[in-house]
Amino acid sequence: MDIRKVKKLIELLEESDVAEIEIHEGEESVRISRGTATAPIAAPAPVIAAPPPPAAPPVVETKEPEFTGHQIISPMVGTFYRSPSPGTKSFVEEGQHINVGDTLCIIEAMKILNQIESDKAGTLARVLVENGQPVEYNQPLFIIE
Amino acid sequence: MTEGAEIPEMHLQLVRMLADGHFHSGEKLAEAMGLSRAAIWKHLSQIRDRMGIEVFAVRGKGYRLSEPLELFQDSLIRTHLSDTARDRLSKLEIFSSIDSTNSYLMERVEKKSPSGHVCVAEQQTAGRGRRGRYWVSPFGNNIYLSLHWVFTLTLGELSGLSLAAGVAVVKSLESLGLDGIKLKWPNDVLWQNRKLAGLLLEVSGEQDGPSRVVLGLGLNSHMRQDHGMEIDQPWVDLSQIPGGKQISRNRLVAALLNELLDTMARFEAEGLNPLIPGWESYDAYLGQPVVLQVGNRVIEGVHQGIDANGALLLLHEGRLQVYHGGEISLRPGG
Repeated sequence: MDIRKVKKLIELLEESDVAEIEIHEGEESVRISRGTATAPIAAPAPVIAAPPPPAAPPVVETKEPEFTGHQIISPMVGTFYRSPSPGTKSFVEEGQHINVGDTLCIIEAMKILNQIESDKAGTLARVLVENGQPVEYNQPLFIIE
Repeated sequence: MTEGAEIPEMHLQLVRMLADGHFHSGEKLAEAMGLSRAAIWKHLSQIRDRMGIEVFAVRGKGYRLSEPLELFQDSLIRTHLSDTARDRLSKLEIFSSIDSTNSYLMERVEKKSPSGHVCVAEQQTAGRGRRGRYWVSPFGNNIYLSLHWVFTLTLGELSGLSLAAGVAVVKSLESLGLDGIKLKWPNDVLWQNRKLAGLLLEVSGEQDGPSRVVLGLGLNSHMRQDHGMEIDQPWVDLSQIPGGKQISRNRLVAALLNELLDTMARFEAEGLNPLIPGWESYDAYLGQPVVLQVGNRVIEGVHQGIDANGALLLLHEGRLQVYHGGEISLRPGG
């Protein structure tokens, strides 16, 4: 396959929301995926190694990270806020001890501000969502260990 | 903790005496209060500064307020309540000044407090809108009201309550003879495209336990122009709406509670569904080209009403899309 064609495919991938393209041409095939550490694999031989996509946009974590602790999940669709109002201190920080009933964040949908409380005591191991980001139903928000 | 930040009783007494809007001589006021005329003058200047009330002083006539005031009275509010609302109202608190009626109920209401705890205030010193926005809340002229209610619904099921509450506010204004009141998704109350009232709902509770809702309402009934200057969007008050100027504030609070308490009780059993046709009949932008601002994103589309949960429906690039957040406005020139 022409290296220029591969380059074109990479550009195509970058401009789109698509994470991976696989093209078969006769006996040749190429698979280009972005943002992952694993090198693009083309099968069967001959292998055409696609150059790593330059300056790829931020990687969207698609793999479910493995957590051992207790997950706090979003009970609803909405926007995630870590503090009661802009410019104020976050409700909780990583490493902090959490009691049952402590407010962890606010999820806003349709002008309802929902205070999400912890149903578990322990240490806040991870905050999984950034302030101001949309969250989905059942999306993990925090890990408590 | 919120503070009541109550206004000194002496100042309230003076304001009550002047509330009729007529002239009262310094001498008579001094006599009634058991103070010197100099002390009256001093208190009235403090009232001007702290409460933002305009007090005119005219030599030989005395003092009067720039406009008459009708302050909240427990008995007057209750007089106008419906029988069902009277049953559902578990507690009514009236504050002359408070930081925020919503903060007060969020912090003070215990987990086991019954539904139907209401507070109203003549003035808020830290009135809040959505996400840190300030709600302009001068003394004695508008409505600042919060209401506590406990639901067994999940947080997801509660989202439609935001819209149901908006319908309740429009209905209560209609019950007082006002026309042309509209809703902008999710629940801004508009008249001729200017904001008359806003609602903010705050919810807390365990994920599978009961949810405690505090609903806050700010309604402009008579906003002085100089206070209105602080409002960062087009606004209107009741006094500018035909038939709105003469509405008693106490009666207005009662009318709002009649509808809001009823809506709260029904929402638990029925949800938003029975209210959707009503909501859409009040929808200010139904069928119109709009822009929705979600964070930094701007989405253009044609407003197609709401879905069963109260989420916004937009026809965008030929597809019907559902949105749960953002600020909607008419597309300029659309």
